Amino acid sequence: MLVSLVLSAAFLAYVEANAYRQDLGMLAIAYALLALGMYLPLALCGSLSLAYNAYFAIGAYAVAIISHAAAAWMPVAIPIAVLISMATAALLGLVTRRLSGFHLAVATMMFGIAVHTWLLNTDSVTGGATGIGDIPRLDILGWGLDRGPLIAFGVILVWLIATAIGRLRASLVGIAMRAQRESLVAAAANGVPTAALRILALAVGAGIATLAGVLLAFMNRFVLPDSFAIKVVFLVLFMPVLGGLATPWGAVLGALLVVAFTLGFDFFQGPGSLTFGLLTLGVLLLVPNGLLGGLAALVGRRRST
Amino acid sequence: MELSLVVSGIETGAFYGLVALGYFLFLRATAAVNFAMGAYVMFAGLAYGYFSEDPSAPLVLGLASAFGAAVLFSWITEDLILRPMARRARDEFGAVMAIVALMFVIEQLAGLAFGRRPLLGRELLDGALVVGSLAIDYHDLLALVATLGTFAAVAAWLKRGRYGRMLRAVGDNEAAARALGLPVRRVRLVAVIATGLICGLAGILVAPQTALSFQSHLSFAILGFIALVLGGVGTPWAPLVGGMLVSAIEAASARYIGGFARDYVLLALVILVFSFRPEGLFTVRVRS
Amino acid sequence: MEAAKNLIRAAALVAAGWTMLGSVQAAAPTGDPITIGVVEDRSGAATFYSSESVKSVKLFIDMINHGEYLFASSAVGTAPGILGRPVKAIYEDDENNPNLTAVKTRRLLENGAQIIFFVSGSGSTLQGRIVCTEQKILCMAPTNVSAKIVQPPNNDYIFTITPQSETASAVYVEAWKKLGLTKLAFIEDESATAKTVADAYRKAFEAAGLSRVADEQVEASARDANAQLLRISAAKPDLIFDLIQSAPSSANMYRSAARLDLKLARWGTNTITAQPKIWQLAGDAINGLLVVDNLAPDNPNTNQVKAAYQKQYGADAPYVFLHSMVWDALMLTKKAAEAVGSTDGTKLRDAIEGMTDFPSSYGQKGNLLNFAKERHNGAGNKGNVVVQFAHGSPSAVWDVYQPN
Repeated sequence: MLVSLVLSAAFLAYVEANAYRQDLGMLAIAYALLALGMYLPLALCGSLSLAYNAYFAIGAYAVAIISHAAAAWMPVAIPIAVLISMATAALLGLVTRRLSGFHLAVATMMFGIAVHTWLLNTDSVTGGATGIGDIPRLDILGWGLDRGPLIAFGVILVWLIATAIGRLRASLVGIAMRAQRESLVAAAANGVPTAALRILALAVGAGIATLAGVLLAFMNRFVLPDSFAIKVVFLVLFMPVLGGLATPWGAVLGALLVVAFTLGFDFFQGPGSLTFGLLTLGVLLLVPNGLLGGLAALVGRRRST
Repeated sequence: MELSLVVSGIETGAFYGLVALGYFLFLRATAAVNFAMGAYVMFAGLAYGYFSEDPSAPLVLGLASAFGAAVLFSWITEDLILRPMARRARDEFGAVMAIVALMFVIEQLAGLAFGRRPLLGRELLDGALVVGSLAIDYHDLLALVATLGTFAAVAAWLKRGRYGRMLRAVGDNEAAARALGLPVRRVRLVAVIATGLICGLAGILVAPQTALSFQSHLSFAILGFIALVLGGVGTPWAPLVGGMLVSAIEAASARYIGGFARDYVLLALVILVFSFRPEGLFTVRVRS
Repeated sequence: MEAAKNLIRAAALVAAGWTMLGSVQAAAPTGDPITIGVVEDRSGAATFYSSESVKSVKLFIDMINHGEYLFASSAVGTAPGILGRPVKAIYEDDENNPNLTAVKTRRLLENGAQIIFFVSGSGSTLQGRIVCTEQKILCMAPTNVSAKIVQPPNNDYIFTITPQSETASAVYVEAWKKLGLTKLAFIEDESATAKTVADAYRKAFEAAGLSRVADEQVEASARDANAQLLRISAAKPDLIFDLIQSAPSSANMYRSAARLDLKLARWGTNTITAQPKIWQLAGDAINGLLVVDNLAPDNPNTNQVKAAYQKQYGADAPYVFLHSMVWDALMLTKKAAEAVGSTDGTKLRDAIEGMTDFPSSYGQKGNLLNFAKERHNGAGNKGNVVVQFAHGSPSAVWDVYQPN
């Protein structure tokens, strides 16, 4: 807890230094929220959904559309966006409730692809290929958040959500969910409402991912369909694995690593997806518990000797 | 004119069928749905296109590199990635992610090796068969014959071949196969190499039919997978039936609804088929 | 390997430098370099054309540093470098992903770039230009065709060079009027760029009273376009208007058209002329296609730049309008910087807004670029040239009609 607080503060101090680092920071925050959103159903119920570009888009487009069509509703734009996403995810979860593994992955991926196509082709709602601009600043109770404070807000969100998911895992509900992952039959026999819990996890995960879109829209003040292509899902997919699935902070670490590798380092100039692909394969094969898991094991070993 | 749509639909269906056959064999051998299959096919096609670009270059160079690359990738997937991972108690999505990661590695390697531009391979046979107003390239006829031949060979191999029969045993019940003393690892290796060869063939056959780029793999992977699920895994011919069905649905929706509807139609197809065709459904586990 | 390549490159540069010294006796530029930050696409869907633009950025900056301005010396003089200082470029790959464009642009600025060139996709530029406005930096998107880029919001500091669909559409309308063609069939792919361009043309053609009888989309990785072409053929249009952006899909569409033996007038956009790979793959199937392009075989300015380009990259390196656009953007930048004596973004912007009759390396003979406060796209009617494909390349200037 203390460690995560100190690190969050250090992150803030680093990224607030200039506009470039602010953009880096916001990208890291957006990825972290997406990764956390994907982590929740994955770690708790073993449900791998790939429709996260859709929830990401819902957040961004809800803000953009409400700001133009119903400016009076702006104060509640964030909850509206989150609710739409949760409803969408619950519906998709219901439709795909009989699927697992690769079948679920492909079905949700097709949904993500179809949403991108829809964003591109539905000019009357989404502005079509050139998107929607002129999005106002985020305003919380009359306090307008410019880039700097917006990032601080994002960091707080990530911290709260990661901490909450960590607590949830430890709590009773979490135990029920994991029991369900270990054995569906056993969990059902013990009265754990498996299907409902799974859909709840998918919906909450989608809600978290939506926040990434909301923040990005307020940051760039312009939304475009190509920001929400299925490509982003494949990038986010690697993050929880890189960091480690034992804790939600693994997803956050994974997001930071991906940003660092795409942009932070000067020595690296190759195509980004090649590096992540190789890095993910390396982690999966050599450090199966992810980097945080590996670190914990290392620390544990040192203590015991 | 509509007849040419049917002809191209059959060609496309045969291609999806080959990809699905790759999935089928790999699944039989390793119990993993290998989504990187599309990337093998694409890489093989680009390799063939790249080396056959210069008309004076020997054809065998392109053929060898296509088959070689696809077999190599297939072997890497099983022996260097899935098998080491299966030794540990890992969740299924570990395998899913490893395969997706590999898919992107192959995509970018293809971009680096062959350039980020479209490539078209040389036809294996020149000329075309003209029937009335319809002209069918000899290459396309050859592709069809080669595809049918491959299916027949795989079916015969699974039924009568030494390793083929063992593969069925390994796929049906690995523990029992081990207890009986079957060389499980060698059987798997043979099947994985066969998968690579099929992907190599698919790449070589498709490269002259359509311009490929380093990003072509995702749609191959998706459509091949849908074909597999649609056809089911009951017989080795099922992937071909699945491929033809997917191609027919795709062509019909593009012809009678319009090209824009493709992504929506495929989504509806996936959800319907995956949810309501339990015989095509199998819980995929990375070995227990 | 890389070291050896660099060695060869260095040797070539030295050799080029010596030959230049013989012809141009100008002092080598000195002092801190002026840095141009280039946002390119090295791994995404825009790589096909982005890499072509980068090739010309590299060569033309070299030429600036050696004071080789060809015809443009009438406008920019003969002094090497910009403001007497050498010019260098630094590059960032945004993977044609709009999420990355802003941050990559800021990274270029962080690393010392004073001016930004966007040569990735239109979507990238739309998202990246926000940085230009915020940081008050001159930005050029020489090769992007989307008119949205120079429209509000965030259009204060960005300029484009390529004729937009708005001016090109007038050429198509005139040409079709001459031929008596009124019923159009659009064919496009599902990329954002294709959609943007197609929407602009749809609007313009509707306003001109032309009717559209079909709108077909080809999937980006489609194997063929048979179904779409059959639908088009059933709608009985007078012509097919091709807006497919992705090179493989485009080539596949022409092969399908040849296979189906469609007897329809075929028209396309400069996307096709920008990507020689399409013509090579399409082969004879592309002959007869008419395109409103931006290069004329008889424009001496074009031919000078083309000769310099092919001297560097080989006689068979295809020269397309993208290269000319990059040339013009660099010359404009030099002219503006030297007019105001600095690289301050606001001053540069004001200088470019005041540029009129600037000699261009593309379009018909005598094409000039004109900018103004509300006009950040410098192209005019003479920037468009109607060409026809013959023998597999856009080699014939159409004799029926040319814009004036």
